[in-house]
Amino acid sequence: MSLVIDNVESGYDRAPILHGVSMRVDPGELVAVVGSNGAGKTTLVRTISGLLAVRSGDVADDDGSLTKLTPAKRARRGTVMVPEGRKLFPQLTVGQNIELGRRAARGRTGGQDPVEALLEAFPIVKERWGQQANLLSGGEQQMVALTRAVAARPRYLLLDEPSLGLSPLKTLDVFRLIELIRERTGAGILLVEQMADQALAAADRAYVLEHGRVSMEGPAAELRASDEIRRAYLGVA
Amino acid sequence: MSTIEKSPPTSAAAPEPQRPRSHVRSALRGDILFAVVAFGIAVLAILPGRDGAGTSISTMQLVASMAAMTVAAVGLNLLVGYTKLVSLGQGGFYAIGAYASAYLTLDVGLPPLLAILGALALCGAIGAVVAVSSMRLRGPQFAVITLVLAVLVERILNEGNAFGRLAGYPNYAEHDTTSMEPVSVFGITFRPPMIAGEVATVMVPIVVVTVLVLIIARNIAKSPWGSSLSAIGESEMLAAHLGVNVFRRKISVFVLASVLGGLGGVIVTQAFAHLQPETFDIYLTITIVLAVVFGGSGTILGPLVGAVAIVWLEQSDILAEIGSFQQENISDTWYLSTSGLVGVLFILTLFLMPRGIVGTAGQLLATVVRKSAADPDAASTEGSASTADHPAVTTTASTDQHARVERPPVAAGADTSESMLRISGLSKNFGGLRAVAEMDLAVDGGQIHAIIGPNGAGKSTLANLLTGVYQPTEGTVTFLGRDLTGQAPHHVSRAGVARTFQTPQLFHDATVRANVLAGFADTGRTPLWAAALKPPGRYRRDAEMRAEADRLLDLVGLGDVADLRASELPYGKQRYLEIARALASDPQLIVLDEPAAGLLATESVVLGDLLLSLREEGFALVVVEHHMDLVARIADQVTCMDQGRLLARGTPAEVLSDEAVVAAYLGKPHEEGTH
Amino acid sequence: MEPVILGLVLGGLYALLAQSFVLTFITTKTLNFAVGEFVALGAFATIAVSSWSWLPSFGRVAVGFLAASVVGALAYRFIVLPFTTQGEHDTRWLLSTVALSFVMLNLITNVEGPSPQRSDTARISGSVDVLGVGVSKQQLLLAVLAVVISLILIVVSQRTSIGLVMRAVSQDPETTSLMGISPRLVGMGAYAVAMGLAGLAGVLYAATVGASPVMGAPLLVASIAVAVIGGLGSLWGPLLGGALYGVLSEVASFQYGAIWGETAGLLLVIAVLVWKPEGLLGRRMEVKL
Repeated sequence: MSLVIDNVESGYDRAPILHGVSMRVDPGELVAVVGSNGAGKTTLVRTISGLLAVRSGDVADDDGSLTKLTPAKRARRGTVMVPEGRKLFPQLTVGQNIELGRRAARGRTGGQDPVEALLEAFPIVKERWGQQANLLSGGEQQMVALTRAVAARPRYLLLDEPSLGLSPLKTLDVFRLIELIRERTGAGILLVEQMADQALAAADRAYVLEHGRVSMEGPAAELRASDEIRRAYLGVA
Repeated sequence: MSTIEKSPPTSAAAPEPQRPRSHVRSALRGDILFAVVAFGIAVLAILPGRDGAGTSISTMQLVASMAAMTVAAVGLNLLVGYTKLVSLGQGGFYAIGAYASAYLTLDVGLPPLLAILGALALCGAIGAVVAVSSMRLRGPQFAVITLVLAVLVERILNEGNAFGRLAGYPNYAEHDTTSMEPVSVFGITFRPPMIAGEVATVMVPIVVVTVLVLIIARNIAKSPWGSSLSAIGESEMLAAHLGVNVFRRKISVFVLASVLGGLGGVIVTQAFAHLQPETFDIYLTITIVLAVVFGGSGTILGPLVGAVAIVWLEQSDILAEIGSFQQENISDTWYLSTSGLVGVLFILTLFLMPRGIVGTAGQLLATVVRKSAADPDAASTEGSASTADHPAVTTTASTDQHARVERPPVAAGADTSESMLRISGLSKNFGGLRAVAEMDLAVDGGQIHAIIGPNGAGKSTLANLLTGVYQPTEGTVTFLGRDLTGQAPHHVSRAGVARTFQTPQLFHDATVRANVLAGFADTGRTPLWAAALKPPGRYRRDAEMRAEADRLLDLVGLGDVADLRASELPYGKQRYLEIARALASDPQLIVLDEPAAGLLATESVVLGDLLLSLREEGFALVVVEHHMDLVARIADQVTCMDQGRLLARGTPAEVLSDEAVVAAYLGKPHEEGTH
Repeated sequence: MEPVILGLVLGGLYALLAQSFVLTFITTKTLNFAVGEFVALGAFATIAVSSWSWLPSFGRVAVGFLAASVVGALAYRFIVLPFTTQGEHDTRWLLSTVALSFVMLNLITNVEGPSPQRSDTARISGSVDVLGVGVSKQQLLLAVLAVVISLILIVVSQRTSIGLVMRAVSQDPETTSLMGISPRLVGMGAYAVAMGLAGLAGVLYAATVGASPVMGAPLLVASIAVAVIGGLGSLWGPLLGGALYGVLSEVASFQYGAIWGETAGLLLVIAVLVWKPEGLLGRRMEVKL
């Protein structure tokens, strides 16, 4: 029972970017992926969500392989991605954006609505319900994007650079929200982040991606303490 | 403002005078070779008609059709291939050129040469009108307006009595003849290929004109004027920030394309001496587009190859044979004949060869070259990768480079008591929203001014006000003592303010070096005539620019990847490339919009080194940023904005410990050094 | 008065076709330049089944709609969609649909022959008096149908989640797919309905002028003009655009002759594009850096 990425190779028209990456995300677990620019982090989440085709290897959720499914079908099976740059529908309202998120949850309803819990904890989203999404600030947009993903009732949630372009204060908020999402939905979360320090602090386990390969993996706290990581990714001499 | 024009630093800084000169020589060699080969092929093409044998008439007509289509396609390529504006109206200009040159000769009675010039001028004028009226359109809307033009022309030719309607032009009823008199100049009569035994002398000027058009188009495509077209194609906003007057340049390129379309029509008139309206229908305009796409849009030879191939296909029996083959073997009624097969060819081209014949061949060639040069290539890629691994390497490399950089002292002519940049009382309203309210800002040369603040505080809006993207509602922007308030981006850029963008805006298919070359002021300033005729000074300047571009690439640590395509660079490196391009315009002030977004902590350290070295050279930098480690390290002054207003200002230490800043923005006090 | 009424009625035909442009544009940001051939396809499909006496004439009209509809969905899947993958500046679909128009026109001509064929399905004879002007029932039917269909589309898009999904797909198809919605299916659906409408217009139009392969070509330019005048992003646009274009071109051709009718209409397009590029009822998109 977990999201399994098995020896995956993928990339754009010419050069492969991922060369045989294997990872695992368990339900309820927060897994961070850190790595430098061009290491293949965005390629990784786009491959898992189906926006990029797998060249070889396999991606599978609890019910079996996802490799041959379209992104829409993967989302409906519960593997939901929040893309880099939020990607809200700019001309729609906040409420409509979140409504669209619910469409991926068709057939997987029942129980408590996870969205309500988030709206309670972050009332700002509720306050903005009727506003057009592109009038929101970057931080608010990220809140909405995360809420929209939760509305899809994810079993596995893929977050691509949620802190990108956010102020330090909003970055703190976003990490708090991610923590809350894990608590309330029990989803396994794969978090790709440039803010390596914060990501490692929040995560249970972590993978380090270098040149399209996993170069290190282990408990996040251990990695965060290792000299190698501190030098290469945390900017500490 | 004079600072840009005075003594380009390149000549002083060029380390090896040998290299530019060899570039000049090889460029000159290439240009001469192209002209010689082009004229050689042209001579071969009309050689069969040298004695006027009756059997050569159809060949000469074929060559003339190809020439006409080539000229029109070359013009269209400037729009479709470079400026990325899909025009369906080129057939209209072709028709106008053909009919107007004939009408002005026969009905108005102008001397033929004057009539031809008049027809071209008419095409240019109509092109200008269409360009002005379609200025804000792109994509489908632009295609629609040009299609409407082509349809209008077609209707007028089919239904206007002055043009003989279906009887053609000229016709017996109006002119007592069905063919135009050949043009005579200085006692030479240029006869069309029509009568056996008569030498089709008009073929000589036709192929000469075609070759000249190709040479001129090649010069333009390779000039800074040409890269300004690509810039407009990529993003008009980007082009404006590169100093291009987008409005005027779009008009120029459309006029040029229209005149070339008209010239194609003139060739038809001269070669066939009679015009029929049904040959100038929508099918024609689409065929010209197909010629460009099939040959390779955005390539120099594409329109030629495409036009020759399409005309040959249509005139040969091949398509007809394929049609009857289907009739015999598949179905007597369910088959495709010529126009349907051309449609299929078009779709197949888009599927299989989106870059067209020339583009695909070029790509294959590049792959082969790469493979044969595999070893050095691998080494250079490895090299770039390893710099990513050990950012420290890049740092040292770039600092080494700095030692050699010499810049003239900043703004010698300007009033030194004033700040380089002074913003006062600047406000911007969007509808009811006040995005920026009464902001003041002063930045001196050699200073880094960081702007921080919560998302939505108006930082990017401020940057956009400063670079001319938005017009301020109130307030003034003064730069080097000059009022820049409300000036268009290209004016701001020319005044010496360069910028980078939140998401790097690059020419993804062009090389890294070409991206930097597009940053030079030449992109906005080269006049069309100079781009077309390529005066000797151009060769020198091109070589200079190349050397300077390589120097700037070394400066930002991209020297070893200059020949890669920009899209092959990882995201972080694309930011450095943008900075190199901004430097190419020789600015005094650079506005950087979140340069560290998406960078690792270690990478933003390297970025900080680069920005500090720029400060040492006397550049003023305005940096919008969220990475507090970077801001704390490099900024001389920090402005924190909140809800469009000034929240706090001072040194990094002051601002980052300010209570209001912590509450509204940081969440917790910023700690120096570590987290 | 007469040219005004006739113009409004004529505008109805254009509006119906313009609606098909708007439908594909608000979902997929593409236009089908082969729409004229779908008009002919619908007309000929209905003629092909006109001898099936067991099928009521409503059913024969439906055949015209469905034939265009199915081919339209396939055209989107195989001719349009593959050429929209390179982002906003990708206009290859424009060329591929033009090419499709060549292929379809040529095929229809080879199969059916170039000369017009009589079509009796859905023919209504007689005329009615509208404000003192005699209008043929056939043409009036087209105009009324255009209004009714537009209203249905507007209600559906505003009252159901279909409209929301359509707008989401047009704004960002990739992100829509992350919401569990297949942008490909939505696009095929939009093309199916849009081309079905073109086929329907073809059936009804053929009843007045007969069916011929080139019957759609003159309609293409006029209806695209109508769609652009009203605004490609607005379902109300075709009604306004159709009325303006129809009245202006009828009045101009009444006053100055036929050639000026069309010219006036096309000049109106240019004027609108210059003044308000997004169309009279379109909303401007903000470009953000």
